[in-house]
Amino acid sequence: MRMDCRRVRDLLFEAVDSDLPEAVREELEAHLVRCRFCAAEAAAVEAELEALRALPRAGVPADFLQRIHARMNEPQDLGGAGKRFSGLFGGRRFIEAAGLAVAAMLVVVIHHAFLKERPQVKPFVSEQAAPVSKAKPELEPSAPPAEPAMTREEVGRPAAEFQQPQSPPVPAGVSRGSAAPGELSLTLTLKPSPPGTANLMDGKAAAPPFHRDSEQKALRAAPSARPVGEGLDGGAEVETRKGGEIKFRRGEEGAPSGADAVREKAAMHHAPKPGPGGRIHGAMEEIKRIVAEAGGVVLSTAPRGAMDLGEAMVVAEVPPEQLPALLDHLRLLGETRSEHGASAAGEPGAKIRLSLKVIIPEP
Amino acid sequence: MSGRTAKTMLLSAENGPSDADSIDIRAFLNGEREAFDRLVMRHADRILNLCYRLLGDHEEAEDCAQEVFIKVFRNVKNFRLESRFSTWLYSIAVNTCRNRRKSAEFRFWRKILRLGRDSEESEGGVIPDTEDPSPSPLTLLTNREQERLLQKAMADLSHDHRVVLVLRYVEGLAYEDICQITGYNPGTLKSKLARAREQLHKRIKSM
Repeated sequence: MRMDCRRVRDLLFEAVDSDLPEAVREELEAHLVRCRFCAAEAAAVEAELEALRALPRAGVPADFLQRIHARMNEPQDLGGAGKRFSGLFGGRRFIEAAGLAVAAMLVVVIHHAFLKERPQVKPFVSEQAAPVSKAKPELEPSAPPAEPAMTREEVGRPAAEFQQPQSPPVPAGVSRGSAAPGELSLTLTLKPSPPGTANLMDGKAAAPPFHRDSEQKALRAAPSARPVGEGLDGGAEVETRKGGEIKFRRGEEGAPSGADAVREKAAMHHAPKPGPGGRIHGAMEEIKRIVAEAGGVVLSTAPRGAMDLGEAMVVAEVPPEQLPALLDHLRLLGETRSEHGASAAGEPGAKIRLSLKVIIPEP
Repeated sequence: MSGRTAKTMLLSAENGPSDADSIDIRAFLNGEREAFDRLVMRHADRILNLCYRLLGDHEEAEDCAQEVFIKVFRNVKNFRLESRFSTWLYSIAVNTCRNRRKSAEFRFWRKILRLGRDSEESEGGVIPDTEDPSPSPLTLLTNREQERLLQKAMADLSHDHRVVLVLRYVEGLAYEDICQITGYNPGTLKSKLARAREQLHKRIKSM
């Protein structure tokens, strides 16, 4: 049996201490005589082991025993585990980090306690303020009359939950209540609008998206307009689509007998749909216009989310002398009602703060 | 082979000191504090050397060796006198070094020191050029360079391989002593020794 070099290289490491079978050992030695590469490898292994045996020994320090005595006499010597623990958690860095953590916790606790002593801020989104996403609760509200910005959590609340500013001098037709001087709180219930038509409040409502199959829907809804046989009467073909307008490619004379019904249905399909959001938005725009014409200024409006729910809130300041005329204009939009009543007028020359809640009547 | 035989003879001659160990242990258990000091001074060299070869750092080795003797001081009452004190001492040292190497602190500092050593070597060029066709770079090195190269190669070995190599070739212990210290049976020990030699050879050749 002849060994190859790979087998010999494996045996080299086992042959040092292991009791190899006599036949294997003889074959190994014979191979090392023949193969100088494997012989060199065997010599290298032996040299490495000799180098290990010849490694110098570490000297014992003169005070080795004294150090052991000192460690044994330490009353709180926790051994290796204790030393490692103190090494990890007893160092200067750990103490610095722990100090910073404690300081941060103190700041948080003090800040929290300070905030608890402050009154809760429940304002509206100011029109002059930054976007809602950037609004933060202010610890020190800016000078009046600006309302503090609304917190983000409050943005989604219905207008009915908002804090109601108190009310001012009482115009005719407004009941008295317990409002603060110079403030007036009203509820405006919008007039119901005729179904299917766009009125003042519906004007800003977003048109529904155009449906490509609106024509087919109209045809299905009006069977009389459906063409009979091939093509339409007189060869008229329905052509068009965009905007919901129906045209006939080949002349009006070729239109089917139900063409008018098709146009009517399609027009109804694409007409702006009345909805609470659209009505509220339209009313808000109209109220802003009325306030501006009365020489007042809109301070804040309710968030969009509340508008979509069918409620909205407007806070404005108007000159006292313009208040009756302003209320008359508001009554054109709907019925006004005092929420908390109104008190005596505030300081002479000061504007009246009007808090107006706009709602849509129940259908 | 002659070196190994000499060390085996040296170990065989330890039967005398091991008897001295028994006497000192009894004296210490009877309240003679100086008996413990004699035990320490008798074995400090070997324990410190073993710790140094297993840990690769003088300060760590000294600290670990002190810890070994403190453990002995506190647990010698549990030592059974029918077995050899040196074997018991070695097993405590091996386990203490194993725990020390596992600790996060040791790994951290070893990493830092290794990074520094690597940069030093790259600057100083202590490691020879391995393009030389000679089988082992050890043949080209001085004794001090050989020691550094061996220590570096052993540092990359697993703890078990390092333990068997150090106990067998550095400390020159017999198979049966190593089996008592490590708990291996003879077959496992020979297999581990063969794998350890192979790994060491590969690492030295790759340097």
